[in-house]
Amino acid sequence: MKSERVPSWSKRLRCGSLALAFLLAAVLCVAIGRGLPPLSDAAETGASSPKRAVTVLHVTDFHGSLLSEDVDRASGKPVGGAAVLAAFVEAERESAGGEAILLDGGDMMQGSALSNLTSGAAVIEFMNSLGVDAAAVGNHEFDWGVKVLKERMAQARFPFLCANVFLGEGKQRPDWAAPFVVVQIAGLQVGIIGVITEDTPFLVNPKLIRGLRFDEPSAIVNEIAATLRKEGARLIIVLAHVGGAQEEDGRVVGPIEALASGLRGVDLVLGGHSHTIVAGKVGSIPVMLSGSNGRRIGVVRLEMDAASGQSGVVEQRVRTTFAEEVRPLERIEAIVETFKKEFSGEMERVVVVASERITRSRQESALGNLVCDVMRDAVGADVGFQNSGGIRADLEAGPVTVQEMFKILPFDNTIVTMYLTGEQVKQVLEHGTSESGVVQSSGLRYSYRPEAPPGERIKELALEDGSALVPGQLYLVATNDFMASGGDRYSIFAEGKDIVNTQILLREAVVSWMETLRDGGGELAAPELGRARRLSQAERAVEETVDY
Amino acid sequence: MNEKAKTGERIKIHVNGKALWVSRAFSVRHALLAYDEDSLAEVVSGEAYVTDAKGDEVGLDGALFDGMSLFVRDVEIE
Repeated sequence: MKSERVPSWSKRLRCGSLALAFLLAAVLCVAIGRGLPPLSDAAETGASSPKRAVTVLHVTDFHGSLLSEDVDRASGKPVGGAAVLAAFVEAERESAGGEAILLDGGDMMQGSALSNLTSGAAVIEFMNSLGVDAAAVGNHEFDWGVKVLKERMAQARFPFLCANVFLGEGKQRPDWAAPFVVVQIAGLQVGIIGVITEDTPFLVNPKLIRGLRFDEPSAIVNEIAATLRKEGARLIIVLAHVGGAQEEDGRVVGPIEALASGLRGVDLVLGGHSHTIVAGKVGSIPVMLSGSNGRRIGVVRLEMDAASGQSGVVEQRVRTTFAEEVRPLERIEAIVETFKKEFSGEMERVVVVASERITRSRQESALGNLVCDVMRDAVGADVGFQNSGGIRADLEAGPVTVQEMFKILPFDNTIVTMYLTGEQVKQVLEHGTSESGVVQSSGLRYSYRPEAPPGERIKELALEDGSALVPGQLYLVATNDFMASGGDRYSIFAEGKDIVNTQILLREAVVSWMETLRDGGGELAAPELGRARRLSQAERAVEETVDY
Repeated sequence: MNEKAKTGERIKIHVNGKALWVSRAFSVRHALLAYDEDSLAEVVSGEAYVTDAKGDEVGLDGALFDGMSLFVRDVEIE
């Protein structure tokens, strides 16, 4: 039976009952990416037609943008939102006579409160309803760990594809990583191969991807593409969570260009990751990137000569999803509303009870110490730094809600890790300590003379256990992405080694830590002060006579 | 992190023509911070936006790549 040999399952799933869909998905997922079932000529319909047209719709880097709250800056017009994007997809499907494939380029879940609070479940619900045929695994898909990713994959009625991830140093992929899928559209077998950026180790909490290796994708794609062709696929699409851009003269540049220029036997490359717009070619291969956050939709219409097997682009464009051009789909609005109600309750959730008021300050503060301790704990760092200005409210005694934590840490800062030498750690303090305040810290004890010139302010610097900070030794330092990228003129972090943006939201790390404390029966108390000791005038006079 | 990933940690990008070396762990938002904190504040507040060389808007959370060119443009108020 054709349905047993041709895994164009997403098309059939959309037509079947929900229970049957899940059953079929469970059965067919086993086949995906683990060998293409043999095709017969009968599997391709419409053999008498010499030309076949296939429309490919592309969205990428949706980042949980379910709500309609975005504006196109150049025009000032509202764009995007799940219901608006869905209306664009429906319109494009209709104009393609229903013969369209919808592909997502990865990073679909992380990025909005509504999505984050449901660990991406709200977005998968939306993408299921949208009728996505396949998605690439993006680096942000790892933000809640592989366990949650697998749960989302189980929830999805479409496959997540990732051909260039492997276990350890070997050639085996993780059990969740399907490298490709084959769908049937317009009477053609279309092979879709997913790949992820090689930069993933720089962009994910190392703990969450321990034991995984992300290889350069072009050779892997070529090998799979050749196999799929041999087995009967007539079109090959690469769905890449790999970035790039397009120059004024139309040239495609960046990693997506490097990828596409190394490919053979591929008909279309769809990129993402950089939130840019590309509608061009690398050599003879059409390449498209379709922006981000549901603000754009890419449309590619390919035509294939059934006799020669040659394909060509007849249309390639990226549309901006202006809300005024469509009527938002009500069924999608209903899905979003359901999750919004859940979200509003979530903001009132009590995460811990504070036994006392915990205050912030430009000087060393109990709240600053708490934030830095959690930051350090979350990634197992030796030292933690947080800018005082990033903590925006005191924590009041009594029940602490999620909403209150949004007031205290309103910026969506992530935790960044890097290795700094002991000397560089000292330089952070030299820069962050002045008459106007100190940088918040964890893991260190020091005294300081704020009126001294930079380079001479820090005295008696040691780790929290009292051992000396060795100038030439490397220490794992945690800070937020604002400081790590040079905010408040902290240029020293740019010299760090092995910089990783863990994508752990600092606020979420603090909330999670508080919940653990609560679940263990504890109440929140203010951490002790005394990490940064301002030298008294008398001590300063003595200091001036001592040669360090 | 494997050895290959450790090499080439920093990439060269341009913001308004100014060359900057930044970690490949960072995004457009961080590139603006490295360029000029005030520019990021203007983009966040809606007074300005970031584009690529063609003039298409680029999201603040977009990934950077070696050789990328970004431009900060003022929002034109009608």
